[in-house]
Amino acid sequence: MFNSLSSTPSQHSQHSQSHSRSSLARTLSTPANAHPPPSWSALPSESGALSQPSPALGQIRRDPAAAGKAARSYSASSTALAAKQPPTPQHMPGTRSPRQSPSNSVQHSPAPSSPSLSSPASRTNSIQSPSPSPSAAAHAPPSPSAPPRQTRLSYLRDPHAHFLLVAEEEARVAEGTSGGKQASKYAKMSAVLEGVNVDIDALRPLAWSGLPAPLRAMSWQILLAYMPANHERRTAAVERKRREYAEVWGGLGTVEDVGVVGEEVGKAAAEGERQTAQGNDNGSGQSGKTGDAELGRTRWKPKEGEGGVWHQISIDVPRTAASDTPMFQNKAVQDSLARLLYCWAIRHPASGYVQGINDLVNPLFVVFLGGFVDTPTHAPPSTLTPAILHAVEADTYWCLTRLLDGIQDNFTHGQPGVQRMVGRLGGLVRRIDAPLATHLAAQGVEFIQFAFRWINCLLTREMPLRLVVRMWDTYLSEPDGFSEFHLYVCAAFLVKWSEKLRGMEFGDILMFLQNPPTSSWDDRDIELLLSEAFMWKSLFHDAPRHLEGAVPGTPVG
Amino acid sequence: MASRRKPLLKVIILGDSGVGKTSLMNQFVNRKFSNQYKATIGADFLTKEVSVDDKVVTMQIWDTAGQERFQSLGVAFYRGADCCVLVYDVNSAKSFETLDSWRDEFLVQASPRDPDNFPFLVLGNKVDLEEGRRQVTAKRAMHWCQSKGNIPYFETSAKEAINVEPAFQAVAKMALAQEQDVEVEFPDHIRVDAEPRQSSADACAC
Repeated sequence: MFNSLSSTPSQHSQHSQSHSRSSLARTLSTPANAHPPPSWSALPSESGALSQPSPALGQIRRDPAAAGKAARSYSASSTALAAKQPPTPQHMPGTRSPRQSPSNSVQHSPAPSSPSLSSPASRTNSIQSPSPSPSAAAHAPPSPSAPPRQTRLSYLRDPHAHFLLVAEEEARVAEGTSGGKQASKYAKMSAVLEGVNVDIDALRPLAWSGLPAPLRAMSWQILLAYMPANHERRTAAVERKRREYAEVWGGLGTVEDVGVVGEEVGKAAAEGERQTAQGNDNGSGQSGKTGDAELGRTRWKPKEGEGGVWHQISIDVPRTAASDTPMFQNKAVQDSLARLLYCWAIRHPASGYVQGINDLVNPLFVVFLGGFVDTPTHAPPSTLTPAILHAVEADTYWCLTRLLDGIQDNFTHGQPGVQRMVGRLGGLVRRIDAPLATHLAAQGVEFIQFAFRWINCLLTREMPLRLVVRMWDTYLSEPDGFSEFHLYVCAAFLVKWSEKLRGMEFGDILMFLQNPPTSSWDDRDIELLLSEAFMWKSLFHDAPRHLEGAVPGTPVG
Repeated sequence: MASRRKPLLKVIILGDSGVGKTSLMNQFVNRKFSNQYKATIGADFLTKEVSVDDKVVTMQIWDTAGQERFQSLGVAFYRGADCCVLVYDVNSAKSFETLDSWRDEFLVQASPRDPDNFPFLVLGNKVDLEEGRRQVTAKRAMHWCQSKGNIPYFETSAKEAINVEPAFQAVAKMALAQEQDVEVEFPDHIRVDAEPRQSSADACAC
């Protein structure tokens, strides 16, 4: 039965293994240092899936000399880029224009109106990699004398050039460590991304089978049609969208000077100072000042009205923060999330803010932050500068808008989209696993009781974030991934537990389905799930008659 | 008509977003508190066995989403409820003022047989916060409860586990009374409804 899996996009339509290695080498100049840079993965525990961590990789990542060298060469290149272009003004209408050179942007000025694009060098000192999980802990942080590269501001300046660099570095790391398979994936990705016009039809199948973490932010933004496929227009287009978003929130709210806000910020400020004092790189004094501006002396608030929406969002954002993702506990990050959700809600009055939309923001935010910092889920507060947060917030806002455009009626009044999909899921499961459907019906379990959340939050509540991110690689490359393919993923997800569920009674079934045991899942589990979903979709999607006779509430015996 | 099965009591928890519904349920069932519960989407479900007057019953607790937008879902979850717990935050006057609409909405969507005598219970939660933040006095809350047909009122703290156990004991007692009340008056309905479930459960056990 699973023979049909061989026709999944993960296996067809891939280019030949060796393709584009040479073109990559031709196009990209080799950096002076011969050591591969420290590798970053968007999500620490995902590294195993990208390439099985081998001793060799561990060695490379632990090599402080290489890390330091890479950090410095990288900083230099992004400083050069920064010098060429003035910082993007993301100011509100009516405030003083923050057109400043990077060197004077560290003065005390309200953070939101003038993101401090302080020199990348000051970002790279002072912080150590977190050790969030055993696998990440294996990549021991370099010693303080050889600081890791933490942020990549070149992404802010020129996404295209940035990604060519990243792709090449990653390809070289992968080549040396995992027998060429990963290298080939990076090479293929690079071949697609380096073109003047990214061929979306070539990008899709690559994304379907999982994107390499460092190339994910750009790929998602292209797949969501936020970033133009044409690289010559890319930088300008993204800058314009970021400015446009700043005008949106500038129009909807005001920035208040709130002084030092609460204990948390006080602590963060103290921490920042301590780290600055420890830093042995240049620019310590500057980064101390920048730290003050960054740590929430200002706070955006909606101007008036819609207090209910703002209240709801402000209580939801902090509690949606996954406990295993410290980055989301950061106050500045939470402010960004709340603001973008509020702006989205006000600009989409037909649906407004519905609980669960906040869950959908997290994968986007963490992936886009991954364009700037090494381990976005555990990004140290000092790497979350206003400049980076503003860019990530704006990108997330626009991409959320794109994503939700495709599932609009999930969140309009009465949530007809969710209701309809719950109904279709019931019908589908009756076709593909009649004994399970019969058992659920006999136990009085209704699909709405567990599947409402699966659909409302796109399974983000049922899976660890790193797997949601992997899942969305596929969703973004499927036509109608979120509005259509998700149905088949839900079906595959439910029938996966069929045997277990058929031995349970009502209460146990519901409690199981509300907390399915996915915490130990890895990429292979999610890929199997996606392949099964693809199979069900192939069988049923273009054959609506298969669902005929499946009347809700009537089990198929 | 003594049933071999333990009585099953269905309890619905309603109230505004953020008043502590999920925390109260988890404190009662798991004796745990966390300030990291995510917003409930749709409804969460837990069960707990309790003894009421030496009788062991299973409480089936449905913790619902607080955002008003989800109210249209109610009918899917409220049906067949034996007791409804209305929760507000004593530090939020608004969450108290919406109790009226939560109660009305429940009666419309659950459409119990005898709405005037359907058992409700009110919990004023978060009494652990300092007195200065309190916006609703016990007197005001009790006055409202009296006006709605003497609804029992408890002040609780899910965080400090204050009064949670007694409150849910009262819930169980009221739900059981409601369930027995229904059985006495409509024995046939209950039997017809209960038999197939009983037999299917037995069939599955083999």
